[in-house]
Amino acid sequence: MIVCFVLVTLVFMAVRLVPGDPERNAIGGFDGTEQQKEEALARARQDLHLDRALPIQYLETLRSAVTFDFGTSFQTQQPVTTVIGDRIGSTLRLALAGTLVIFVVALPLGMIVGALTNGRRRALDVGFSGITGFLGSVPPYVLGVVLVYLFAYTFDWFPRTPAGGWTDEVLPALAVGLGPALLLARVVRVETLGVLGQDYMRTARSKWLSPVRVYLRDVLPNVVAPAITIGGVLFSSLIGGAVVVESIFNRNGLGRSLIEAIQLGDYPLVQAIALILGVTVVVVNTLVDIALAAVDPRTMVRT
Amino acid sequence: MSRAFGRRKRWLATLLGTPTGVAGVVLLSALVILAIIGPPIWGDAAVKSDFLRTLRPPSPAHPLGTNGSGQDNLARVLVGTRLSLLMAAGAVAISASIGLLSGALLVTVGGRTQRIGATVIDTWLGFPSILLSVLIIAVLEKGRGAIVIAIGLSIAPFFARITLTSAASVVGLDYVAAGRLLGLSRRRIASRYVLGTIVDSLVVAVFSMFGQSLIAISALTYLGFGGARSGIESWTSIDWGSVLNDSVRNFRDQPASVLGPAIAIALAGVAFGWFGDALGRSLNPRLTVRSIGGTPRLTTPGETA
Amino acid sequence: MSEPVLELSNLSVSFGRGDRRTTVVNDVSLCIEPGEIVGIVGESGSGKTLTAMAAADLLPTGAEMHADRWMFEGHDLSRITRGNRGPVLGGRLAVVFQDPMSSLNPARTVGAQMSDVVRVHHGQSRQAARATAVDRLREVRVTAPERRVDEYPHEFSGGMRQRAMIAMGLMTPPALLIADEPTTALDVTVQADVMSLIAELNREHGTAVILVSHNIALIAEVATRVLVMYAGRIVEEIDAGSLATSSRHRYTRALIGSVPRLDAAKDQPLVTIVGAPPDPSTIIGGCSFSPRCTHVSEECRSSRPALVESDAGLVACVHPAGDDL
Repeated sequence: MIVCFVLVTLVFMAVRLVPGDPERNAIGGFDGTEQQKEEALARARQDLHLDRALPIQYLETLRSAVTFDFGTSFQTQQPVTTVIGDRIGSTLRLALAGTLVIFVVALPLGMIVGALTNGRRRALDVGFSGITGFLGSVPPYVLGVVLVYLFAYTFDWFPRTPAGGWTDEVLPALAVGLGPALLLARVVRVETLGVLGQDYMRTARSKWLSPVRVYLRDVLPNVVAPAITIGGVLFSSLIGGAVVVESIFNRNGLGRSLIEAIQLGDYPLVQAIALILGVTVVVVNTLVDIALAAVDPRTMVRT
Repeated sequence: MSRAFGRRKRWLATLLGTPTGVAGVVLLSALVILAIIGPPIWGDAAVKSDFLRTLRPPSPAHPLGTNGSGQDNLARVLVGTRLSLLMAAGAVAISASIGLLSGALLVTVGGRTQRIGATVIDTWLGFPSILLSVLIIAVLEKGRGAIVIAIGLSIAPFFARITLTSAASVVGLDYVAAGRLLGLSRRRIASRYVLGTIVDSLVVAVFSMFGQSLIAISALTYLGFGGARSGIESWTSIDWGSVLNDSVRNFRDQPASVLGPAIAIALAGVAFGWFGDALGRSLNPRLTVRSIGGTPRLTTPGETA
Repeated sequence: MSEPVLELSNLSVSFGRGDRRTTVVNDVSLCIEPGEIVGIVGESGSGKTLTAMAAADLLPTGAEMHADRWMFEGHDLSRITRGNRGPVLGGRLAVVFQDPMSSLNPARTVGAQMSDVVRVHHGQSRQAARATAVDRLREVRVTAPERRVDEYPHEFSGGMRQRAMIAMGLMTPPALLIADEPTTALDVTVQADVMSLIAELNREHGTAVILVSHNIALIAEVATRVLVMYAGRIVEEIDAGSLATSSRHRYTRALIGSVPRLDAAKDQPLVTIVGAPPDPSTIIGGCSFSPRCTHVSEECRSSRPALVESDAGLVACVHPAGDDL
């Protein structure tokens, strides 16, 4: 809530603080007859509520944010909601695939390395933390560039520009998801070691079950809760990564639109996208809390 | 004398005690040296256009090939070290001073204001900072200065958080209580005790934030927020992000050239992190700044928490 | 008599390697007949828990065991590799641990944890296993077992959890139950309850029990046979019935004497054992109890007494007590 409010305020200030006439700036990139330009100008003035007194302008801006009525994009002269509707799918796919990468890589990797290094295999332990520490701190856009270089140009396994289909999703998802996944794998490993040292694991041993069953039934449920907590934190950085990575992969997503809109001064679009991404982060954080309550029997009782 | 010397030796030994510590020190020294000697040596090569040799693949003369203006890609990466480091330094200076001051202010005021402030800081931290920084840039005029200020502002809450956390850990201690009994004002307590104890965590944070600002700033210059390139280019406007932008645009024709800036950004980011960790261990063995899941960490566009 | 449930001879358990190797259990031999309750008593650090865990193949990582003979229901465990012991031990040997708070998995329902053994080793379906779990919970007198079976451990009180642990051990029911200090972490009022449950399980299902405790009075009540351990060795083995009257080892006597009794004369002081049990890494020549023994002689310090027949069992003492105490 607060975040959305801050975002709207920030964008509101942005429009007014920019030197020069905001609406003239705004339609600067628009080609058309004089009459069309005049119409666009009037529309921009109305969308930005520039025709009112400043406090009213602010209230109006807040109102349009709540009702999700952002007016018309300066650049394309289409309703902002239409532009967003076109672009949101790509970002959504990237975010989902990235999240999938985070959990699909982190949970098994962390648990397996944890199981193997439980008081043994010092070399694996050191190697694991070295590699995850290094790759985990490589930023998504650098990782994206290197992935494209390796797998689209050197090996030619994936398309160099979006070709339509699932192959488009693999490299971007790895670029935004791999770093967080490796950092999460470290957390999962530590959590796994913690669980393995618990008394109830001795109880599990006393039942003589297969190791796979023990890891799935006894270890996993205890590791999932902390993994989701950290995963929620990592999601915010995944969204941040998506903003930059989209332009590397030439994806027509919200992030790339945001960058372009800022560069062109298309404020209605900037405001809408910033708000959507901000709300997404907030919503995901709430979902994480709900998921945690569902996973951890102890929090379930408290609520 | 000899005892002080012995302590210094031990301090160095811990700093260099781990492989990552050694790597951090070595890489960092290399970066600083490169930032100093890079521009004088390769400055001319970095901006010298040769329109007969554009977009050439790697060759002995141009190990990373040439860009669209026939400039040597490797030279541009080497020369870009200085501006990348300087911009990161600027952002860290801004964020550390703002964060420290606002944190100290909150500690001094205390009470409900401090709690509200802490909530604001945590919300800010939990938010993808690239969104904040591009919005700040939207307010400011485009350019390198705007980028430095934007990143500085979006990293600032991290330093404020460290100040608050350290203050909270100190305030409960006996000697602060004793100070309060002696009638010291909150302000005196804040400056005398709190600032004294956070120096360790601050030094470590400066280094790990340095790496993260560098990554974030490069992301923004990569995205083209560094301002348009003017007709006559001087090496003072080259940084890793803009070199990467150049290379990515020419991906199809000369893919290998992306490796230069990509590796430079990644290595620098990691090196600062490693150095910060090693420094943290040697200053205070119990301090773990990079712990995940404990204190919230800043998320910059490039970096992940 | 029929073949013993468990046979261990010359068991030793050690930690570490090379120079830093410390042997914490020495020359311990155990033979458990079907249906009997054998108590192992000793102070903390006497090796009683490690002995029990070694018998159950549940030693902590880093511990190494060696035994000349290690038989369970006629299977030679020393010839079966770790990964293949499941079919032999699973469901036939159950363990109840000291701390019921930490011995149940907090993230799984009690019923699910109880079901593991029968689902894996008896191939029962989920529903059948749940029904069995409800039966067993009822057997250990957990109220409303149909509801309780789907609850998580944190919703159980300490005594309830220990009952659930016992019920979990009862699922199959097993040939041998190893209970390691099953009541130490519980309230006194619940202790008696849990002990009577174990006794009941032994009576009704013919399950043999190894009961490990530091509390000699508790063991004397339910056990048929008592092994007294000191510093990693068995110092006396005796029928529970003759414990009070015919124990011969000075340490056993001291343990019995240290139990407060309501019927004792008010002026008769409680016996205290001077000193502390030896650290396992220090090697004591001769009888390891000699530094703390009231009847010590030169001979005690020079040679270690062997476990020999006494009138009520076996004893390892140079100067066994007569009926003088």
